[in-house]
Amino acid sequence: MATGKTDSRYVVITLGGTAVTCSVNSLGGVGLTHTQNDITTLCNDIMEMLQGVGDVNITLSGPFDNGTNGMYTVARPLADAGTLTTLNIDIGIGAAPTTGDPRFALTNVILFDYLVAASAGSNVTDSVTVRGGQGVTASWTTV
Amino acid sequence: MAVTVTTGKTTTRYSRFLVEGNNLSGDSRSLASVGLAATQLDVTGWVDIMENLSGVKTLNMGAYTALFNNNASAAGVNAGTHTVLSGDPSVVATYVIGINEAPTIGAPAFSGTMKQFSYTFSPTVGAAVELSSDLQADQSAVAGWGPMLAVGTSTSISVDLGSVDNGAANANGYVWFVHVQQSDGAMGTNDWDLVIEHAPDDSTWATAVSQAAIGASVTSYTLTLASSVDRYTRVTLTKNAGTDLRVWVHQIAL
Repeated sequence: MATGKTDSRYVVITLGGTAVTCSVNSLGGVGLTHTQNDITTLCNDIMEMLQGVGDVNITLSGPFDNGTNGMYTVARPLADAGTLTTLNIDIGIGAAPTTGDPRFALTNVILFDYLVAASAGSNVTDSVTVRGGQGVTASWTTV
Repeated sequence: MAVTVTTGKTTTRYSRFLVEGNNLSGDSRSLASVGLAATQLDVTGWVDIMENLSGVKTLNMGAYTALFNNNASAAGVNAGTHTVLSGDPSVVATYVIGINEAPTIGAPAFSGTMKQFSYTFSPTVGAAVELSSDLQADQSAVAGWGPMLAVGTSTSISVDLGSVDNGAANANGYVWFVHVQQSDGAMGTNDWDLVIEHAPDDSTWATAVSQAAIGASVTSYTLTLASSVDRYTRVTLTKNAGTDLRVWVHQIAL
């Protein structure tokens, strides 16, 4: 297991068991966020917060690709059907991900808004939003 | 024989946009979001992570911008965007994605039965006049992604187009969005029959749906078969009279 800093070209994205990395050029919001519940009262000098419910909100976007591992082929049917699926984001450290490397692992996620954009002179692009479905789990683990 | 579908990434120069049979690709500048979006229903209880259900879907083909063009249809000339879109029409619209080439049979596409809710333009000094259109779902809208069965290639003789392998029979059937585009020759004498056929083995063909006497005018419509359709589908065009025919056919699963 390597440790240290790394480049994004060593990130591997697996959606529903299929690697879609080669059709994604932007990955936003990887991780778990929480609502911030304000419990500050009049006797506090500094605001106090409680960590509230967690949330998963990840956007995958990139050049449109209708190949076997493209988002049109993999993500679109899942979004259309509202099917619960899995998402793993593996971070290789200076190389392709290998055993022991960090992984953000999600189960029971649901895909929303598979949308395509076309603008003159540019590539056709697509994007999809990943949110927690019923029974979602999210954790930092290892490959 | 089933076509080999072209796959991969692509640029917008190979996209096509059909509205009511009119090919607006030459005037099109951008389509910001094409597809089906769903409302996100929060069903979180006293649990650690927010949970959602997929709710009702909304049909997106909005934020369309294009060059202002008031051409009228004529032999070999498509109507322009202003001619087609002014008047807030209800339309059949199809966005076709050619994969590094002009669209071929099997190319992915999105269609919907749409209603235009806004049509505006804002001239700017030193720039071509552009218009903006917002297309939303019409009443009882039908929409979705699927392959093209015909891509507007001009033909002056009867032809059986290449078939598409849908992977398996579909017990629920399909909707086919049909655009009859302005032909290269005069349209008035055209009389063609369009048949969508299906086969379990790419050779034993039977009629799924058909439309007779097409080609005399620029138009669009949908054909539906809400029952079992075999694995392979294709379009056949039979010429009874006239010049040439350009037709686009997009298939979505029910």
